[in-house]
This record gives sequence, structure tokens and C-alpha cells, in this order.
Amino acid sequence: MSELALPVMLALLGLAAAGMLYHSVTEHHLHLLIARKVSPDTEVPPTRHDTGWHAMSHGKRFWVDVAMLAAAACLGLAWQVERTATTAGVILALACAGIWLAARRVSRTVGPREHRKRVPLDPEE
Amino acid sequence: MFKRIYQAWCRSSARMACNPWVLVIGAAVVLSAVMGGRNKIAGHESGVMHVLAGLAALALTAVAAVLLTWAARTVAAASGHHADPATIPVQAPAGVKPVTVPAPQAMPARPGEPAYTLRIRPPDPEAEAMAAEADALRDERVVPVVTTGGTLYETARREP
Repeated sequence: MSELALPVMLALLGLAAAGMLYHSVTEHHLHLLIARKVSPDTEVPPTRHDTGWHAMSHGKRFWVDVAMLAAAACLGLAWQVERTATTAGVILALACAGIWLAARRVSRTVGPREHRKRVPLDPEE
Repeated sequence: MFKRIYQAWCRSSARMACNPWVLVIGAAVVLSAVMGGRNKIAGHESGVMHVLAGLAALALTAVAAVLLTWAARTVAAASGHHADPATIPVQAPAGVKPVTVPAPQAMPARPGEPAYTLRIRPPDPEAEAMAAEADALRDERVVPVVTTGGTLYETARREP
């Protein structure tokens, strides 16, 4: 295997594993299935077939696969060009994704602006 | 195919014409040529190449991040009935009444109107309460309208 193909293949394997884990957790509730092994009281919702990957047509699935393949090629090529910058870029991207997901979760928990209750600072108000 | 490529080229060149960074980079190149930039970096070729390689790696990582973000958002936003749950047999455990969705019924088209598919949904108590509240308001003058968000509006009946 050439020097260029090995990082690309490793990136492809990593992305495929990450995608399978994402799908298993978000749509098949793998974490709850594992938790039920430990605690049988854990409720596992049924797998939905009208959202996510299950709801996508084969054409859309193909383009998502193509995007993941292209991303793996970019990551492998970047690793081949400069390893330090690639590592920094991946860590930066993961940090940005984590911050964005946390901010979105907080925003959804708080709710829309018009639904928030106004709490007066002064009880006499 | 070539027409689309040409259109993309025209679009990108038109955007670049409005982008100040193109002017800044062009000015920097001209200035470096005038001021003898090639002589100044004569001893730092390896460093310059290293920085350029790092920038290229960062750009490739950014492209990969954009592609993966698009893929994740596309999957998360997908909804529909690629595999209709009504067509999937569900084996309910003994003694448990399965919750099933009635199969969609094809409705015949009336003359001059398009055909449609009626999907009977299980009864929704909240929607029924909203409909009952709207019916209670209905009289000769007022036509209640309930939006999908649950907001109730009263509209005056139009005189014939």
C-alpha cells in the first residue's frame, strides 16, 4: 500500500466507525441497550423508521457516503502533507463541534425567547 | 455539464471581483516583486514551504469538517417514510396490544381535483380538545380558526 493510501484508508475506517457509532446511538439507542444489560428497568424506545438514516432515500444515502469518502480523502491527504497542522485542525474542529452542540442543547432547554417567563427582580413589582 | 462549469466559473469570478482580499493579495504580490521579496526569503525557503504545507493541511481539514457537517445535518434533518412503519410487521409480546398506524388509503380523485392519499392518524386528545373549543365559539357571526400551533383566532363571517 502506498504512503498516500494508508492515511486515507485509516481516515476512512475511522469515519466509518464514527458514523456507525453515531447511527447506532441516535437511531438504535445502543447506549440504552447496553444500559439495559446492567439495569433491566432502562426503557429503550423503539427504533423509528421515519427519521434519520432510515428515512433517507438511497440517492441521499449515496451522497452522504460520497461526502464521508471525500472527507476521509481530505483528512488522509492533509495528514500526509503536514501532521501537526492536521492534528491541530481536527482538535479545533472537534472542540468547535462540542461547543456548538452544548450551546444548542442549552438553547433548546431554555426555549424560545417569547416562551421564557419573565421573573421580576423585585417581588413587589 | 460544461455549461454548469462555465456558470460556476463566472459566478466565482464575479464574487472575487467584489472581494477585497483578492485586491489585498494582489497588492502584496506586486509589492513583494517591487521590493525584492524573492531576495528577502532567499534563506527561508524551507520555512516558507513548511508554513504553506501547514496552511494546505488546515484547508484540507476544514474541507473535511464542512463535508462531515453537511453529512451529519442531512441525516439529522431527514424525515419521511422511506420505510413506512405501517408496512413493517410488528410482533407484539403476548398480552400487549400493539400500537399500529392504519395503512394509508388511496382516495379517488374528484373531477377537476388532484388525487391524494389519506393517512388516518391515531386520535390526538389535544387536537380534539382544540376542535371542541373552536366549535364552542362557532356561531352566526364568528368563524373560529385553529392553527397547527394551537393558536385560536376568531374571524368574522363574511356577509354573502
